[in-house]
Amino acid sequence: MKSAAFIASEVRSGAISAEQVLDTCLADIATREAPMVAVTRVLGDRARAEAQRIDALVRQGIDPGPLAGVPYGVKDLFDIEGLPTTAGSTIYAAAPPASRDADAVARLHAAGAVLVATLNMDEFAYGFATINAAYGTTRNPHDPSRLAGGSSGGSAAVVAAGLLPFALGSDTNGSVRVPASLTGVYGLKPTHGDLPLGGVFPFADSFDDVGHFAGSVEDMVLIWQVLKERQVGAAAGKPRVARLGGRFRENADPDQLAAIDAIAPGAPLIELPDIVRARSAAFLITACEGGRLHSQALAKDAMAFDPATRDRLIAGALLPDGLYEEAQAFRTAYRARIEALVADYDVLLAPSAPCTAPEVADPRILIDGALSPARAELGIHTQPISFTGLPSLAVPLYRPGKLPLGLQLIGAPHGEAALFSFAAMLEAQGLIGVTPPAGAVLAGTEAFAAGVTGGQHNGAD
Amino acid sequence: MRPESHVPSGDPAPSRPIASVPLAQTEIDAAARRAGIVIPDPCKDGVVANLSLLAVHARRMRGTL
Repeated sequence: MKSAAFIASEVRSGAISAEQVLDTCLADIATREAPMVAVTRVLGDRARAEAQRIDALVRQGIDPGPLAGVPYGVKDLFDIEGLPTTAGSTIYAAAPPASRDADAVARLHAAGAVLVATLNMDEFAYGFATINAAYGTTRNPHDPSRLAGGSSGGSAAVVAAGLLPFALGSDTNGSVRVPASLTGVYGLKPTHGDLPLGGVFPFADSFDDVGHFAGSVEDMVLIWQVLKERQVGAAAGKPRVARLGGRFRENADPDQLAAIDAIAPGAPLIELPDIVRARSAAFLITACEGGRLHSQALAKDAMAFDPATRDRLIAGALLPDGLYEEAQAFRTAYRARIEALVADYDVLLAPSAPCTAPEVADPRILIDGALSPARAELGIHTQPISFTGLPSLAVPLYRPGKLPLGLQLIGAPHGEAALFSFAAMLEAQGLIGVTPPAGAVLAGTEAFAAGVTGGQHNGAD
Repeated sequence: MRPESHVPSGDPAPSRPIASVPLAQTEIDAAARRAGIVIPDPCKDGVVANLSLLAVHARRMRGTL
């Protein structure tokens, strides 16, 4: 699969048709996706109609848009006209079909993108694992015995495997950044509230954001501009960079810390105060909002929920209002403190997931020296950033032959342009970049390993 | 039908007594009644475990752990 920028350029010029791109994409999904358990629905008829519309525009000499003919997928919680929105749950599998596309999907459609598939997730986005009792466990394209992370695991996996050039997910406490890190692709959690949430099945309103995955910084910017409906200007001047210390340098892979120190040697090491308190407040708000959201369905038939989420949701529904209000008051004060603290910097460096992908057979990770559930703890470094509302771009360290690891580039509110500029510089230096999965772990074909060409490392090593 | 969130406003309420996570069985039963939820037997141990974890987070948030 070529990059989104390359495909759009070829389709707009008439060098290749959107239908040809789609045919290749659908054939690829049909032959290579099944072992990955990433796709929940292939939208063949809709994709065909969208591709034909793009080709008709090109024939008429009309520019179909910056994502002309680019295939993509969405996490199974975006409304798609005519289909039920499942949010990864059988409870909504037979829900009334959506009357219109989610706002983000509509913007991509208007830019010429072709929606091909819906993608697997933890039920109701409650987890960092994409272990779903109804739709299966999504496997990591770099090693199918390992998790892809979650909750947007299907979205990350299809991009990492080169099946689609980009995908949409959602990030509440790290659900884009964690799977991006474990599968070795780029993923953005924007400034909270910056991208349209219309038509997105909620999880925890205080932290929910739309995010996207892609294989290069160029594609990340291209898709970001479409979702934002405006051009993103280049960041001005040399970025002011700091490294996050304290808790962010504990429970991290040594390779992540070495990379941070190599990227910004001598950069200030700053500590966000009360980070443990902040993460716990995030846990409480998430549990309360998630539980309250589903309380009626829990009352009706709790056993219809995924065993991995129902006990957590019930517990959240039982929390007292006063505790929620206390956590929200803490959040309001905390955000103001952190924004003032980081105002002197454009980019803060931190790990994203704290380790490489855990084994499916034993989904636990070491936190503070003890084995803990990956479903809850993979977000140890992303959840506190969600609590602040700051934007965070997950970038893959370039490390061929090894399991992926990622970093967060965290910015000031609405500072995404600076993050993209900094990431582009690191990518050009060969420090970050997508490494295609080695070998034929899923497909048994050489094409699999060669699948991700967009944003592939530029050979600077 | 998609669910709609019913969460409190989030405004500080300094006059309110410190809210605690229900941990004793009687507290859990009362909270479940208020929420209109009958906790199925297979979920009871998991709910207790999750409430215990949330109680730890409440103490951490308050800086008392």
